[in-house]
Amino acid sequence: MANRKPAIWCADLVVPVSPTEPQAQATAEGDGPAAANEIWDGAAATVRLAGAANEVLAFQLVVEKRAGRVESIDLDAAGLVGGLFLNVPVAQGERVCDDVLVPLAFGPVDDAVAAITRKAPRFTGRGRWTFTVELYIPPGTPAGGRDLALTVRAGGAAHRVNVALKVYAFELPAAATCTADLNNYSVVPGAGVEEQDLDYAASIKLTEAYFRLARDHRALFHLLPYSQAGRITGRYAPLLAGRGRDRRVVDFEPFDTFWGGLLDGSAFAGSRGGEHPIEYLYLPVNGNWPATFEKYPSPGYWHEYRQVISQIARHLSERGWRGTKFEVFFNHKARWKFFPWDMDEIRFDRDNYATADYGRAALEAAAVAPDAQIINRIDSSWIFDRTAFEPWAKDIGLWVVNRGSHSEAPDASAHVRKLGGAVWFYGGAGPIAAADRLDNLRWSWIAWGREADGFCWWNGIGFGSWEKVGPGTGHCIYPGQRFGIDGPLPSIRLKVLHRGQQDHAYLTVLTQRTGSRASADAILGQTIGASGREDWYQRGEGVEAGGADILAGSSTGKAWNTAGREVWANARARLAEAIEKA
Amino acid sequence: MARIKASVRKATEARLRRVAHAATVFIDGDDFVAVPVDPKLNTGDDYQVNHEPFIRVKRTLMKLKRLEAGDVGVTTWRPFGPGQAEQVVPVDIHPLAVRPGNHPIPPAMAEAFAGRTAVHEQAYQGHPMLSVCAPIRNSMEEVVGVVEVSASLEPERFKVDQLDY
Repeated sequence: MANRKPAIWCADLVVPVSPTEPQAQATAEGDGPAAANEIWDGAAATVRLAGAANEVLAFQLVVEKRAGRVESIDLDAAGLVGGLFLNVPVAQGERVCDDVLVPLAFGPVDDAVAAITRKAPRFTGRGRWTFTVELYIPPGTPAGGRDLALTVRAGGAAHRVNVALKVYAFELPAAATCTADLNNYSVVPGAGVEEQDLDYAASIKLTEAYFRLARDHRALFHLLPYSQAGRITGRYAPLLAGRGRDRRVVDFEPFDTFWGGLLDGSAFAGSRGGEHPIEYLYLPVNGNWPATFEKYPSPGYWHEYRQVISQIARHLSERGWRGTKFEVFFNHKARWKFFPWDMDEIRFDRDNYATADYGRAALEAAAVAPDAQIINRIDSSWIFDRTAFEPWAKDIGLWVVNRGSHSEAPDASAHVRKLGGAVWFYGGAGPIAAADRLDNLRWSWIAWGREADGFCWWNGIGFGSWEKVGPGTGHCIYPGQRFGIDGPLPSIRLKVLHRGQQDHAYLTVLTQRTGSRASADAILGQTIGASGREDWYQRGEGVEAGGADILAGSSTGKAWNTAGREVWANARARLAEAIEKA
Repeated sequence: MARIKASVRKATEARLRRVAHAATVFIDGDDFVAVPVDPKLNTGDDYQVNHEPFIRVKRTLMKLKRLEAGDVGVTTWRPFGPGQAEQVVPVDIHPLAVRPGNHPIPPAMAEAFAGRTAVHEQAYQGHPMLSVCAPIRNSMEEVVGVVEVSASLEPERFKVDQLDY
C-alpha cells in the first residue's frame, strides 16, 4: 500500500512539508498533495508552472526516504536558469520544520547533502529530503510553452519529473514595485561572525552580500547604524570633531568606504534586482549624533545638529549619490533609558513633538543641497490616526506604521501619501511552524490593496541566530558560516515573500497597461473577495491596533485573510491573462 | 582577564572618586526622583519619563564625564523593589541591562544607598572595569539614588565611554 504513494513529488512553496512525519502526515492535508496539488500532477509526474520574463518561479521537490539516498539532481532547463537548495529544518518546540535554504549545485548532490546535514541542527526521525528548485525566466524570453525536466537519481534509480512551463507574453520590471523592507540593527557580522574577526574589506563584502540577497528577492535590507545609547556601530558614520560652532565632519572616508558600493549600485552587480543605488539608507543621526545631548535643547545643540547635516547633504550631492533616500530616524524609547522620548512606536502625543523638532531641523539643514534626498522617517504606531493630521506631517517622508494600527487608519494613510510621504506597515516575518506560508505571501498583496508603498518585516537577521532561532517572527535570513558560506542564507519564508513581490509586479503592470486599478480590483474581487481599498483595510475592527506587538499575521475575518492558497494562485493567473489581453 | 597593575587601578580609582564626588554635588536629587512618571514601572509600553527632569539629569551626567581626562562612564540607580536597584538615566554601556534595569544591589551600591562612597570591580564582556558608587541626595539631604562612575581598567583595549565621537 505504502509503495503506491509517490516516492518523489512536488509542492508549492507555501505548503510546509514536514521533514519527519510519516508520508500520510507530511502536509497539513495528509498525503493528498503528494498525489496531486495545484502545481503537481502525480500521475503524469509533472509540475505545471507559469511565469513572466524576469520572474523567478520556485517549488519544492520532495524525495521520500524510501526512495533511497539522493545521488544527483539534474535539470534540463531549456535555456532558463535553474537554482537548487536543500531545505534545512530548525527546531520549533517539539517539532522540526524546514526553513533554511542552503544552495546546492545541480549534478551529484550526495556528498554536499551529507556535509550540510552533518553541520545542520540535529534531529531524529527523518522521513524525507526536501529541496527547493528555482527557475529564472530571463528578460526577453519569448512567450509560449517549455518542456523542462528534472532527473532525480536516488537509491540507484532515475526518476523523471516533468516541468511544464508556460511563459507569459509580458515581462516584469527589474526593480521592485513595492518596498519589502527587512529591518536590522547593528552589524551584519554580529549574526554569525564577530566584527573583530573580520578584516575591514571582508566585513564590507559580507555586509553587501546581505543587501544583495534582499535585492535578489525584490526586497530591501536596512541596517540601523547606532545603538540605543547612541553609540555609532562600526565605521558606519563619518568622523566628527569639535564642539559648538566648530562641530563638523572631519573625515567622510569611513562612511564613503562602507556604504559607497550600495550608494553607487556597484554592490548589486549581477543581482536580478538590478545594479542601481540602494533605495533607502539610515543615516547615523540620533539624539547624541551629530550633536551631543549634553547640550539639548540649547542653541548650541541645534547648531551642531544642523551644521553637520548640512555638511552631509553637500557631501552626498557632491558624490552624486542622488538615487537613495537617506533617512533621519530616531529609534529611541523611554524604556531603554538613554533618551526621554518614545520616538519609535510613538504612543503619546508629547513624544511626537521631539520627532517634529528634529525633523524640521533636519529638513532645514538639508535644504543646502536639495538633490541629496535626506528625509525624515517616523515609526508612528499607536496614534498614527491622529499624528498623520498634525501640521508637521508634511515634514515626514517615510511613515512606518504597525500593521495593526495601519489596518485601522485608511484615511490617515491616504492623507500622508497625499502630502508626499511614503507609507509602509510593519510586522514580523511569520512563524516558521505556520500551518501554511500564505501570510508571507500576502504582505505584498495587502500593500497593493491598501495603496501602501511597502511594508517592513522586523527584522531580517534577528538576534538569536542559529543558537536561538525562536518562532521565526523576528528574522527570515540565516548566517551561512555554519556551512562554510561567507554570506547569508535565505529562508523559505523569504522565497515566499519574493513570490508575493512578483505578484505585486503583476498588479502594477496590469494597472500601468490599463491606466487604472479597476481591472485589477475587479479580478481581486472575483477571486480573493477584495475589490477595493476598503476591503483590504480593517476599519473599525479595533482589535489589532498597537505598537510594540510585532504582528506576523492578522485574525481578521476579511476575505483576504481566509482565502486558501488556490485562490491566490487563481488570482495571479487571472491577472496574467488580463495583462496579456491589455 | 588581563592582570591590572596596582598603580593603574589606584590612579583610576582616585580619578573616579573625584568625578563621583562632583556627581553627588551636581546631580539634583529632586530632579532625579521626578524622572519616572510612575515609579512602580521600569519598562514596557507604559513606561514614561518626565522629559524636563530627565534632560537636566542627563545633561549633568554628560558634563561630569568631561571633568577628567580618560575613560569615564556614568549611570544612575534608584531603589526598585526589595534588595534591587533600577537604572534610571544611563549614559554609557554597563554590564547590567537597562531594559528592564532592575538588578540585585551589590555591596558597594548598598554602601552608597546608605550615604557612603564605595568601590567595586566588574567586567564587561571579559574586560575589567572599576566603579565608584556615590549617593544622590535630594534637597532634604535624603539619599534618593546612586550614581555609578566607571572606567575601564584596560582602556587601550576597551572603553566604557563609547560616545566619544
